Amino acid sequence: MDEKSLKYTKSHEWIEPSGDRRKVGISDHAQEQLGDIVFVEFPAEGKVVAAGDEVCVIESCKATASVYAPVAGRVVAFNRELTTAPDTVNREPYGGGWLFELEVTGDDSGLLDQAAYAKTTEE
Amino acid sequence: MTSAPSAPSDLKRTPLFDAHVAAGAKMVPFGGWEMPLHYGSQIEEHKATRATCGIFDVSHMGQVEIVGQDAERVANEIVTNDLAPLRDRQALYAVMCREDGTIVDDVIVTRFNPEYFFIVVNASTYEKDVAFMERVAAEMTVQETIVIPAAESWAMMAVQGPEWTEVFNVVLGDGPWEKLPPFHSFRGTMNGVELIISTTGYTGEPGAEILCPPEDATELWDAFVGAGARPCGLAARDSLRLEKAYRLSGQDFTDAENPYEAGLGWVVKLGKGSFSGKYALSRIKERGPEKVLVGLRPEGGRIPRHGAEIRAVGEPLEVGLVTSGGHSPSLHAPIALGYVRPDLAAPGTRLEIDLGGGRSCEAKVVKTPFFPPKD
Repeated sequence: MDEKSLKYTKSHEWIEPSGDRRKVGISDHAQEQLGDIVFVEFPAEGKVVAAGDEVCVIESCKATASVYAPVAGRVVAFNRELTTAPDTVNREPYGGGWLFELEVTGDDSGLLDQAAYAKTTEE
Repeated sequence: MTSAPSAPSDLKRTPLFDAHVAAGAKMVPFGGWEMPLHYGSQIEEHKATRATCGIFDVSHMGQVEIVGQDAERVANEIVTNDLAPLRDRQALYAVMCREDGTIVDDVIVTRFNPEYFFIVVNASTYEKDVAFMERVAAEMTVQETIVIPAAESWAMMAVQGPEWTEVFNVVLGDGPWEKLPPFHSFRGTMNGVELIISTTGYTGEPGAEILCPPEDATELWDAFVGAGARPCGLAARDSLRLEKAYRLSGQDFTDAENPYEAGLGWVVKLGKGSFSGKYALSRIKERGPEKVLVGLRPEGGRIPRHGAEIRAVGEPLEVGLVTSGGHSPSLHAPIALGYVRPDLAAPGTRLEIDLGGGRSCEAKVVKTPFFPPKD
């Protein structure tokens, strides 16, 4: 995934910018803050979510973090590789570390582009 | 690489701060100090310590000396464990308790000789510990014996892991530490540097803690790293000690807990003479503690954290709280310590732990240490 073309939320999720089915993950900033990720808990496939609903939970050594739906939709797939290699989220947050796929039904106009997201992470 | 900004005025730095930054450490506040959390991956650091050798900056910890004719009597009044059986250069683990039996801190006490005891205390409790020790000593009638706060005189690092003696041989040459049993010290001057080497540690691996003057710390640290000791941060230190169920002062016990609750009754020697907290502790032992700290193995992959509520399965009433929770890299599973009602403390007891958001996981009480597993 080209991180420059992705859309972002203030809560550090990224989503592919277009398509009916779009992958969702967390940003490099988020994985760095979390540290070593050891477990990802997914909901049932087919779950319908509104923008801002919790979709999955990430456990790192030091913290538990909820991952939220960037837009409304239906969770149609999750990254099963993370069951055996959760640290992929640390190593490839924009690539192999994608978390779930959303069949998008909601409006995505409120999402941030990469530059706007990067500003939110500056101290 | 951008240079590190100056510390906020309320955070202290050890002599090894620059070495940590140069090694790529993520620096975080801890107990009033700016310390390395990790140097890239706490899991890799944890595994390196169990497999080969890790090195930890523990200069933030405090040291207190008790010196004089009545040093043993004063030290024995201060701690609950019995110092009388100690030989010169032998150490033990103990707690210090108030008159009501609550714990001030846990400590390692080394007897260098009958008139010189050396006590290592936790970083965040140093001032509290010194005040307590001075007060206990002041209430005793003693001959020329004083309590000396000594933290400023020492930097300290821990070299831990199966290969620790090989690393020592490279840095310090063949020396008496190879024959040192656990909980024993060597003190001397090597290459002009005053060193105290103590076969103690907080990881559960064979290893030693080394004290040196602050101005010599960087050279010593660099030498150990050059010899193969892998720099490890506070995060790995925490997961290593948690696998062994070593208590973390201020988290697994606070100023409100007594040693019988914290599972530290084994360092309370009611059979010795007078010591601070003795009478309260004998009453607590007799009637039994109201809660006890146990090891927990949660099911599934969710990790219960400090403060999570513990319940009997299917019941709404809280029976305890998690004090420490984390991931065990050696077991590839979550582990936790928590207080529970004594009737629910037997290994094998099934409990429920609240994870927030209306969810919970089941957990089993287990014997500790968690690793290696006992069943």
